Amino acid sequence: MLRLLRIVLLPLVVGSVLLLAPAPAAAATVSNPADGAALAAAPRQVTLTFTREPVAEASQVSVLSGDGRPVSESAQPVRAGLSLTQPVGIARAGDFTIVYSVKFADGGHEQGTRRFRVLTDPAPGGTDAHAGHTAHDVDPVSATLLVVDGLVVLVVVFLLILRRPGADPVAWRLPSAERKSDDRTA
Amino acid sequence: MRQNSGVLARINGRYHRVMLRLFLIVVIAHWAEHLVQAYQIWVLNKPRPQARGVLGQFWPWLVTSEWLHYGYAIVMLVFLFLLLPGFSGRSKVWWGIALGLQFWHHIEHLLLLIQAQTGTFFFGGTVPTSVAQLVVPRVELHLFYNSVVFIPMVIAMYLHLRPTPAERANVTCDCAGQQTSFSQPVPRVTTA
Repeated sequence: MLRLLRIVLLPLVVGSVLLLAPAPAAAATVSNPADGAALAAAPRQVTLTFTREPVAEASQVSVLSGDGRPVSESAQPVRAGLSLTQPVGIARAGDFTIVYSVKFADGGHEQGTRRFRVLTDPAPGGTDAHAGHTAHDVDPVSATLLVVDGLVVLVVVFLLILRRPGADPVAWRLPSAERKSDDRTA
Repeated sequence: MRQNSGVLARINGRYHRVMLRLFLIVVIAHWAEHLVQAYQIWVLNKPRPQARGVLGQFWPWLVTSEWLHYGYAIVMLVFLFLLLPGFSGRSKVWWGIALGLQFWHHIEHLLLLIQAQTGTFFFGGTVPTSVAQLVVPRVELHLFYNSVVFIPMVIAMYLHLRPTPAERANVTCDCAGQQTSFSQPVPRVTTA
C-alpha cells in the first residue's frame, strides 16, 4: 500500500510543485524593429527590450541578412536599462533576422529570433551605419535640371510681365513701320 | 473662337483658367515633394529611404505603398489630358509633349505601385523597380521626369497666355485676357 501511494502520489506532488512554482520571468521580449515589421528605411540599430535586466557582456545579439550574412556592427550589444542595442549596417533591402541569446542578472537565459523586412535600398555606396552619417554628392544632372526649371519659370514670368495681355504678338515682332492695326484680331 | 457644349467644353472654356490654376497647385505640391526630398538627401544628408518628402514624413506609408507619387502622376495625367483641347497652335504642341511624357512617367509609377501592392518585384529587384530605374537611380530619375514634363508644360502655358492672333482665334477660353461672353459665339478671326 505504501508502495502504491508512492507510485501514485509522488508524481502528483512533484507535478503540482512544478506547476505551482513561480515561473521564470516572462520572456516578453520587445524588439525594435518589431517582429514582422516592413520598413521603408533601413534601421541603424536594433533594440531588444526585456522584462529583466540583461547582462550585455554575457549576451549576443546578431542581425543576419536573408543570405545569412551578419550585418550587425558590434560583437557585443550595448545595454541601457532593460534593453540591449546592436548597431547594424544594412546595405540593401531584404529580409533580416535578429538572433539573440541573452543572459539575465537574475541568472536566467533567453534566446530567440525576430524578423523584419527593409523595403527600400539605402543610398548606393552603403549606409551611414559605419560613419553614423551619410554624405551624398549632389547629382550634377539633377542640379542642372533644377536650375533649368527655375530659369524657365523666371523667363516665363518675366515675359508674362513684359508682354501684357492684349499685346499683339505678331506686331510686337515686326519693325514699327510694318506694324498695322489689321494684324490684330478682327 | 470655337464654341462647344458639355463638361469638357466648359472645362476648356469658361473654367479653363480656373482649372489651369488648380492644376498648377497640384504641380507645385508635387514639386514640393521632390524638392524637399532632394533637400533632405543632398543638404540634410539623410539616407534616401528616410528622405520621404513632405507628406511622406508624416505618413510614411504614402511613400512605401507608392500611392503618393502614383496619385500625383495620375492626377497630373488627367489634368493634362482634360485641359489639352483648350490649347491651340504652338501651346497645344508643347502641352501635347508634356502629356506624352507624363503618360510614360505615369506608367513608371504604375509599375512601382503594382510591385508595392503585390510584393512582387520586377527585374530581379528587392524593391519596387521601374523600367528606367534600371539605369538611373530613382530620386534622380523622377527629378528628370518632372523636369521634362514641367518645362514643356510651362512653355505651353506661356504660349497659351500670350497667343498669336491665329491661336487666339482657336481657343475657347479667356486665359489670354479676352473678356468673352461664353454664351455668345465670337466671330472667327480673319487675318489680312
